[in-house]
Amino acid sequence: MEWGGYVWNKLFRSNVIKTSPTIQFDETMDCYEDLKFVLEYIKRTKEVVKLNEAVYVYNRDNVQSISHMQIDYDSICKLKGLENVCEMLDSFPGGTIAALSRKNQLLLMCASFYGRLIVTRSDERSKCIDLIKKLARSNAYDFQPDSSWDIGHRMIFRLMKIRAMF
Amino acid sequence: MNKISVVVPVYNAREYIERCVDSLLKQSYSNIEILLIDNGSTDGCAKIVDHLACSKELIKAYHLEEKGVSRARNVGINMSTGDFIAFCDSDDFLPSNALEHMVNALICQKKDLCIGRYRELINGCEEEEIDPFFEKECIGVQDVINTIGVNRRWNGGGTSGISFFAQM
Repeated sequence: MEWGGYVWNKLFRSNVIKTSPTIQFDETMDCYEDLKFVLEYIKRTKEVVKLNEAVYVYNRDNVQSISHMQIDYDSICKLKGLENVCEMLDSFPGGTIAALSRKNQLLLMCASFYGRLIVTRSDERSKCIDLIKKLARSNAYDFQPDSSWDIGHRMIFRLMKIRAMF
Repeated sequence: MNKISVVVPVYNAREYIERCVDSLLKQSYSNIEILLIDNGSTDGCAKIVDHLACSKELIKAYHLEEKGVSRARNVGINMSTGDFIAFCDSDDFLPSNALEHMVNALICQKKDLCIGRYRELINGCEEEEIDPFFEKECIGVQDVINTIGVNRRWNGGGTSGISFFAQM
């Protein structure tokens, strides 16, 4: 379960946000803009306090909510978000997720997208595939999925290779 | 002093917006303002937003012509007059003590960021996951970074959702 990247289970100090021009929501992003916001805020944060109480109720019953946009549009903006966020994570000293497994995660993401794309139809599809290729090309060279990949993603990855995605 | 601005981006949430605002009005911590930022809604909830803003002084409404959650939240931040800023999506809601817990923790411990647990509403029932992250006595900035993006769900579809980053 994710705790770090959402903005709605947190309370922020107004002066921290308003005195830093980089702490704002990136209006070119429709997905993961919250993640980027939290990362920017945390750069200027020394200490964090954690609560054991639930401070939010996230409605997963609403199938039309922001995070449930149409798959193809969604895929493209998520890939763009992923590019942004990976860059940001890399800029953190000791950002372990980025340092240890960025390549693996990135390709897992690509496999996930591809898995979704082959069951959907859209004009956006080729755009999305181009983006996947661009992202994957620099990373896929000597890549082998590690143990964090489940069987479904491994199969999709093989399919991607067979179809010369890389 | 210690006013909380709650920024609520609103998009096509006709069914949910009143429950959301109601949960904010019922907070045990009452020194708040509610900023409803409608961004291009087409389901008529813009009217509900205006109606809510007329009904209480602490609710302010703003309308953007185009859909865009980032723009909406930035507008909310710029409009805000509080010392603290919280965010709530228009189809979600807050437990009644949420803001009180968070603001007290921030003030008493003089920290910059408060982070809390959350529940998920699934088929009308609230469910809460246990997570090692919250078992720790104290957490630091690095702990937060390590959970960013971890197992984010894609489609609200329970286990069928594919995560963004896998759990490390």
